[in-house]
Amino acid sequence: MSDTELSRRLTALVRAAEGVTAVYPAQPLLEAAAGVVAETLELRPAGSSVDIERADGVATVRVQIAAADALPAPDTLRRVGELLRRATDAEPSLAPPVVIAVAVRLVDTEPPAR
Amino acid sequence: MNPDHSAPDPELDGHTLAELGEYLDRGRTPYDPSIENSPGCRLALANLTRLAGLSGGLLTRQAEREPDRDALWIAGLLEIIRAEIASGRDVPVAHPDPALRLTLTEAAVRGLVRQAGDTLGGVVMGRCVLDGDVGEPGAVIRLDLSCAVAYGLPIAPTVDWLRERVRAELARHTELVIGAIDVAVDDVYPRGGAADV
Repeated sequence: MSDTELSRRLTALVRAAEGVTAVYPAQPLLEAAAGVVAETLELRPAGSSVDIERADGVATVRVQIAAADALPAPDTLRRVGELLRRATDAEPSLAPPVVIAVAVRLVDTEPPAR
Repeated sequence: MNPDHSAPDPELDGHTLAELGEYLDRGRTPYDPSIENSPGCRLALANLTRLAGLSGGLLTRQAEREPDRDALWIAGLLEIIRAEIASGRDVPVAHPDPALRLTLTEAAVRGLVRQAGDTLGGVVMGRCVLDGDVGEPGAVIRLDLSCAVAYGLPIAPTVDWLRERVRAELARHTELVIGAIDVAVDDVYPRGGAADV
């Protein structure tokens, strides 16, 4: 499975997790565009917000989320992290070690407008 | 301090605070995915929404009496909102798997504090500083807050209530160890402003 396909699958997994109201790329588009315009943009088609980076024999899976205020944010973080861990453990294209980084960018008191 | 709210801000994914204000004025229509899908914009929108309710009420009551004072105060709050959407430091959440790095951004934590204060009724949050090593699990953190309180509210009990609310909110959503919560009440505003937000 390509990293783009894997990212799309992991993004869908995170988006569906209890307590997650939004999923954001770990690297904002503008920031990415300032570096490697075409490549980065091409690597992030719609629906693939989970970043997968491979360097020095380590794969790093990064994502940022909005967490629902209705649930404690640490519980949501652990849930998402463990979901990603199970998914990456089962993914043959991701050889260990795999580092997973999940960050809450905001705690949502309202659902997204759409 | 940069008072130029028309300058594109990287934390707002290229949008400006002024654009977000206009978007709010339009009732967040037409839907703009570049705003709604940006965590920085969402944080700023939440803060601006509460401030918009306050400023509308205040400015209509006090514009003729103290226009310069109110304009400066609102501008100061806008500047704080703009400064506080920067992601800042990582605030860790523990997990037994050392290769699982779970964090809240400092901006998300400040958003929790601001939300707790602004929705208290009779309080408008100003400065919110997390003083201490937020990245070190177990380190005691001091909060340095400022706020305005509605005229007529007893200040000491209101501040106690604010502290209690902030402490509860951070206990629920973070693993920070909160020590002192220092609150400076730096303004008093007429009732019907923030209390209606």
